[in-house]
Amino acid sequence: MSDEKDLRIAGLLHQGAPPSRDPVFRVSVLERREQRRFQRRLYTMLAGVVLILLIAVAAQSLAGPKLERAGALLAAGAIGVACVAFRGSLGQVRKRFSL
Amino acid sequence: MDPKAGSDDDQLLLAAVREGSERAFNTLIDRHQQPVRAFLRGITASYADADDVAQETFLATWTQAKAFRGQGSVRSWLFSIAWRKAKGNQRRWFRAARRDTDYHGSLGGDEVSAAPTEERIAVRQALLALPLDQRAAVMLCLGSGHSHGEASEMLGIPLGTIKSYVSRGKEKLRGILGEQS
Repeated sequence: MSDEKDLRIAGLLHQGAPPSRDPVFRVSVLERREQRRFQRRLYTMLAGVVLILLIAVAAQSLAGPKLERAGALLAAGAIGVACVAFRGSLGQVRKRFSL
Repeated sequence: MDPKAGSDDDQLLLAAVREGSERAFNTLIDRHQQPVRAFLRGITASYADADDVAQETFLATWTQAKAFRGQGSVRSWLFSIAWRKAKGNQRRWFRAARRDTDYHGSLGGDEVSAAPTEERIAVRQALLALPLDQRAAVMLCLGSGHSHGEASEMLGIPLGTIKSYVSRGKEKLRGILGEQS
């Protein structure tokens, strides 16, 4: 009798279980992951743009070799920001070509 | 199906996820979403909250796949992540539950139910009346068929406490069924 009740309890506790195949749930997880990636990329790029603008503003008062150095710093900064923002994709590309 | 083979397979799958395999991640979600979501639906008042935590759980497996040390099964690891996330959301859920007095709205899922509605509601209400730790132990041991030891490992609660939680929870639910029949 109590075994029967235990089985009923297990059945009732399992009533709210989702279907064993639920592609909508999987798509929701992937969508959320992409949103997070996009947000992270956006914040990195925004921080990079602010940094590059600061360097550009500071470079306005420079001349000669110092200006050239500031230009090189700007270019390096832009490349660095792009690498950080797209590091996941870059990793995939590197993996593909190393095979 | 040999459960050991399934467990080995899961470990291979997780190794592939660690390497960034999209296909492995999709398979991991498909394979484990039902038990993880069923567990979370059992311990939360709202299915939407449960599915939200389940999504966060799978996202964590993507970002923290390297953290899996191979002790225990991948499913146990997933349950322990889900449990930690559920505990983290406990206060928010409590506030939302107090605001939301329309409790019965959360009971109507899209799944077909074979049990009489009154019995189902009574058992769910009794389950939700239990403290969160006890609810989780009852769901794992009585609802999902895990052993006390596995539940203890997943929830990070001592074995003796789990046994006592499950025993008391079972008595309470049996009492509810006795009243209903």
